[in-house]
Amino acid sequence: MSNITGEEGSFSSGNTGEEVQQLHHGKQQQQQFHGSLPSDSSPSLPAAKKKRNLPGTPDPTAEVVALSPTTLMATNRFVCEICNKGFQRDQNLQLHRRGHNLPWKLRQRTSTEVRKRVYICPEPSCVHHNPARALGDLTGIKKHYSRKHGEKKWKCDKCSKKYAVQSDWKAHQKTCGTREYKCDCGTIFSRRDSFITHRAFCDALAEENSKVNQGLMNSMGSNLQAQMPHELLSSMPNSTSMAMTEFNNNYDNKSPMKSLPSDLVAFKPMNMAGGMFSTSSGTLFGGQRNNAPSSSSGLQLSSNSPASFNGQGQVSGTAHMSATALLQKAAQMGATASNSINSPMMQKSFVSSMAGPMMQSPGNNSYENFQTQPDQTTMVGITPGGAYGNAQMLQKGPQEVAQMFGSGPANSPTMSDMGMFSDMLMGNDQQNHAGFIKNTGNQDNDGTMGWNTTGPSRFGGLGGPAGVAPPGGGSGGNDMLTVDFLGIGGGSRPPNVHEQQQRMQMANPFQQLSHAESDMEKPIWDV
Amino acid sequence: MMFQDDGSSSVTSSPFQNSPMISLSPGLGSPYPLLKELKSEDRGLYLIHLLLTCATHVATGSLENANLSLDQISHLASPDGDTMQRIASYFAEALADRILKAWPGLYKALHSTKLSLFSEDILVRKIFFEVFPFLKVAFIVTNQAIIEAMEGEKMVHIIDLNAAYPMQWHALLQDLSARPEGPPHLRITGVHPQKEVLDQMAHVLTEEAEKLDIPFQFNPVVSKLDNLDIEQLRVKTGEALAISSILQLHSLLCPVDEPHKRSPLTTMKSNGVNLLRASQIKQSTLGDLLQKDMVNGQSPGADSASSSPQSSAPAVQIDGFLNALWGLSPKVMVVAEQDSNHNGSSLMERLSESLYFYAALFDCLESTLPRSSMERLKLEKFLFGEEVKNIIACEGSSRKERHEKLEKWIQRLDFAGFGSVPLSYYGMLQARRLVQGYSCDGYRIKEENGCVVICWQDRALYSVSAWRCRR
Repeated sequence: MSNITGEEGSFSSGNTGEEVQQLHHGKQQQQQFHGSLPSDSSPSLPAAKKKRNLPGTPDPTAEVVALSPTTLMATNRFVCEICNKGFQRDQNLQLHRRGHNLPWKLRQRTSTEVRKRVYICPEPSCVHHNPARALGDLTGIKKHYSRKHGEKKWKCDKCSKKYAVQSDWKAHQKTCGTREYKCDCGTIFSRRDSFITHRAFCDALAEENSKVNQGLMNSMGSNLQAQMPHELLSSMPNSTSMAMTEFNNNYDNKSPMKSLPSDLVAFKPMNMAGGMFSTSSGTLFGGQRNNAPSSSSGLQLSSNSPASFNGQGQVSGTAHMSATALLQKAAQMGATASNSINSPMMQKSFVSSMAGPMMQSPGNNSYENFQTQPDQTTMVGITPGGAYGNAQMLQKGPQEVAQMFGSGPANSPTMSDMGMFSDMLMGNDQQNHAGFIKNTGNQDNDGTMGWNTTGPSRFGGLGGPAGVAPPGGGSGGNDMLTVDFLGIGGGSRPPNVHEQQQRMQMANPFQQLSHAESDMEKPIWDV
Repeated sequence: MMFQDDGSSSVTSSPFQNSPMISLSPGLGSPYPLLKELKSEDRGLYLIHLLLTCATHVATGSLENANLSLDQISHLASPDGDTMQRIASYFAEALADRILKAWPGLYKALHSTKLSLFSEDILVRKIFFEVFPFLKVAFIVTNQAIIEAMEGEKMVHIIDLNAAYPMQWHALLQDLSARPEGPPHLRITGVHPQKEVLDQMAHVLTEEAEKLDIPFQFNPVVSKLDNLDIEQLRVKTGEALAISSILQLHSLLCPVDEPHKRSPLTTMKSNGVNLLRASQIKQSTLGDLLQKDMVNGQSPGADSASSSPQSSAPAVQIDGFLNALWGLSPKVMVVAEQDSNHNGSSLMERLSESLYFYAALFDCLESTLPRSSMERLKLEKFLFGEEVKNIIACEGSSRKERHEKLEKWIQRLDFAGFGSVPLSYYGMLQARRLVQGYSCDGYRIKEENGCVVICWQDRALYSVSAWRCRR
């Protein structure tokens, strides 16, 4: 390969006649340099590397040449001015001109003030038809025209890919099938970048990740990092995008983060609107850095390797559950009637704390209790202690506790209180929300929502956490627990309505009686 | 307070059963040391239970019981402990804040000397950007949507409803300068209540635009969103408009300020009998007020896309705001929001939803930063803690963190005349790449109705969606 020299003033540099092929934007690159002739005929360029404008933004002082398609495709573009004979190569034309015996003055090639020429594509719908977006190289425009607007006459026999320009086709033939990448899911790629991109969201890979992810986030994290740097680092392209230079301390100092944007930069999406988008994530990181170089050092984030975090997380082994897992477990604990094996103690304490205040009124209708004690300080003393105190309660089985309230029909299970909590905790689920909000449909209240409006009417009277759930008898059916809790219930005890209502009203200092509430029809305790 | 997590199971047997009934005075003091022996898991479960219990008390107005629950929580929770302990400490603080509002004088006295440090705000925002992928994904997706919508446009005007993150537009400038047709003439209007933030942003972006030789203009608008004057945005005809709203719209779901706002628990705390009589006498008014104050922090109108006007329904600002935005005919509007319902009318609803949501965020932090990290503490306290406090303790127009689920936003935006623009394949791809490159391996990107949702494990956290003006 010959070198590219930047400043020869003429076309006769003694090498092969073809000119340097310019790289076009956004297209598949055929990165071969066929020749070394400089395309620039202006002598003013310094010896330093020719400054390359963004592709398609030509020198404003250049002369715009619009060639017709036929001229563009013509093979003989070097024309002798004396006899109008056409030649494919400039050297051939020169040789021919010698034959005309020109006087010395005319022997010189056209003067050196030939302005730089830029060419536009004759196709009107093309971007390069606009003089502002002309291309500077004749060969370039010819190839562009063929590629974009021409017929693809050359076909690769291995992969049936078609090309309009013979040099493109030749170049492809050399590399077709030579390098292939195969994803775990079976897809084959010829380009490294598209392979990596595919891997990024390949389903097979994602599944594998999530499986391993379940238990040990920690080790998986380090595994991934081990895998990724290799891929990403080695895919460093020869890109000169500014994103590259800006990457540096990202939040995570590990190489995967650093090279990630570079990989994106390397990734020139074939059919995308342009390869420039890839810089965005890189620049985000980089840009951020630019903004506050001083504070990034204070962040100390780079000093924390995942190993150290994870180490902490692993100290207690599997006993260390994430908060999300704990919440789910709490929800499940309530939902299942059976005691969870892990913490029977917790359950007992829950139960007893729920049942704490209940103990005040052994066996009686708790109403009396409340009627006499509108304030709840005495209850209060028990309530929190209920978890710890009252060995008695603890030793009674859950069922006994429930029975203290009288034998309602269908004693709801003692985990009803947790059941309530579980409903609340599971309330993030759509269906369960319906359970919550169901009451709006049933209530006669004017549009109040949420169970708070009904809840207090019962809870206020009870005071303690026990007030949360109607232990024993409150529910007409266990599966109606949620609903009951929300105050809807069967509403099937009309005879009791009024007296219950009155008792509730008197007993409960906190209830909201804005309406003759239908929820009040539902007695809490069925004696 | 650090708990030793040894795997012994001795806790399950005796301590609780043998101790006699205990009052809470420290003198007797016995149960609490035993609490310290709880395994972290049990402790976590118990904290959840206590939080729910406490919230129930607060909701019903049994403040004495709530106080006791809080006291119990205080022995188990800690902002330096494990995930659940931290969460519990912030939620407990929020509940306490709520209770305190029943004594307005006390509340005001305690809050009047609080300083909000401007520099801390900026720092916390920066940490949030760096530690989590949420903003980065939102920026990538937003920028991508803007680039795609603005293909071929020569004059682009972007309105940033929360101009606090210059890195977003910094990246966009670079992407635009590499456009095949060259960069457009770009104008960015940034809205933010603090002038200094806008100045900083102007400086950073103007510098970058000069470097890239992009014709650029930054117009600052110093204003809060709820009193933003659309005229100030100076949208001109002939320019292609893009609007970017990152975690901003939910604050407009709060009702318009009412002059006679009552604190939620004032009337609930003391003599219930009086309350009872009063309520019997004036059932419709007092009951209404109580319910509204205590329970109904959200206007019913915001519940469904079609606002059903009720007698006591306060107006929400979002509808007017969206209408105004629609009137500007943006070519694209990108909305990023939390994807969780923290706008329920009942406290318990909000509490349980936000428990899940912030548990996931705290889990992210646990997997990302060590427990001693000051950045983590700041995020937990100044960002998430404040959000939780707002969700739990505030009502009415002071509750700004009214997050809602994505489908609600979709409904609302659709109702306001916006059509969904599915996010591009390439945008999703970039988002996925970003998230997979993260050292912490729990983040997921999923696609829902053309919108991007960022999840932690399976819990949806933030969503990004793009909209166009549909006529």
